[in-house]
Amino acid sequence: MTQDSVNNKDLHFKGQYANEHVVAFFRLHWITLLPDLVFNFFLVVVLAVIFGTFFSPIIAFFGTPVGQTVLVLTVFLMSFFIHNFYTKLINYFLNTVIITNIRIVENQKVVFIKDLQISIDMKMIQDIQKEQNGILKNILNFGELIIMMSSSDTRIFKCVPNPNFHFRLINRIKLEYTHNQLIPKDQGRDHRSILYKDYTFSGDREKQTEL
Amino acid sequence: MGTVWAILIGIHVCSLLFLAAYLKRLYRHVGKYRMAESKYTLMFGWIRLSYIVFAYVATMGVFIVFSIIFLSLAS
Repeated sequence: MTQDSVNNKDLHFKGQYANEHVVAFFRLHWITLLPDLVFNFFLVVVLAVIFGTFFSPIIAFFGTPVGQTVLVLTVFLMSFFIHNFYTKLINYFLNTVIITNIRIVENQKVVFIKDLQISIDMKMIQDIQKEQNGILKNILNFGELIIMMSSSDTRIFKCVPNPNFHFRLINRIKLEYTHNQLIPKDQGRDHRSILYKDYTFSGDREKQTEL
Repeated sequence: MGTVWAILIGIHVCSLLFLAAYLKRLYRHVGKYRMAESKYTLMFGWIRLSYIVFAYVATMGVFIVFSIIFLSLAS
């Protein structure tokens, strides 16, 4: 299938080009959620223990005028914490990095607050560096991808899961992209050539190791 | 006591309005991205966005019910 015979416009994400194929995408490693998860877990445990142990005195206290003010404040704060916790979890799903055959698209989204899209063309990428320093990063398999661009600009993707795979993938797509640019169009450029045409972007481990 | 009830109901109404507006905007955004998820892209390999949304709505519901029960017991 050549690039001229497909129309992928807006197929997988808004803004996708007609000749663009999504090769892979990733979200940040789950370690980024750990502080919030641990904090909220302890908050719930502490509140459960307090209410479980001192249930009757607390109910009696909430009956007093001071207690009612405390109750209102508690409800307000707990409501805030619940919203804060879940919006952070949801934000995890909204922040994605999509690797296509012609660019890398980073989406940073926080509902109501932030909507940022960064697109890095493969032709702009000069070098890619992978950093995975530290015990935790090696055990949990996450790290940084540093993309150096031709304009002496760098883009750092932090907490990338499986950085080896993504490092190799971007390198190969870049090679493929450069190769395709050298072939005249009438000789049939194929943006899904042998390097990754069998790779499905949902990705499984076997396919990932092939790369 | 009536004032406390009014404030509590006000907090919960604001909270639910925020939740509804948030989910509306969330799904509008999610509709623009149709990516095939896998165990390498999901949270902890299996948690989907829909599970989180369900937990969010359920937690808010349980919290509102419990706070009303609490205030009723205290009254």
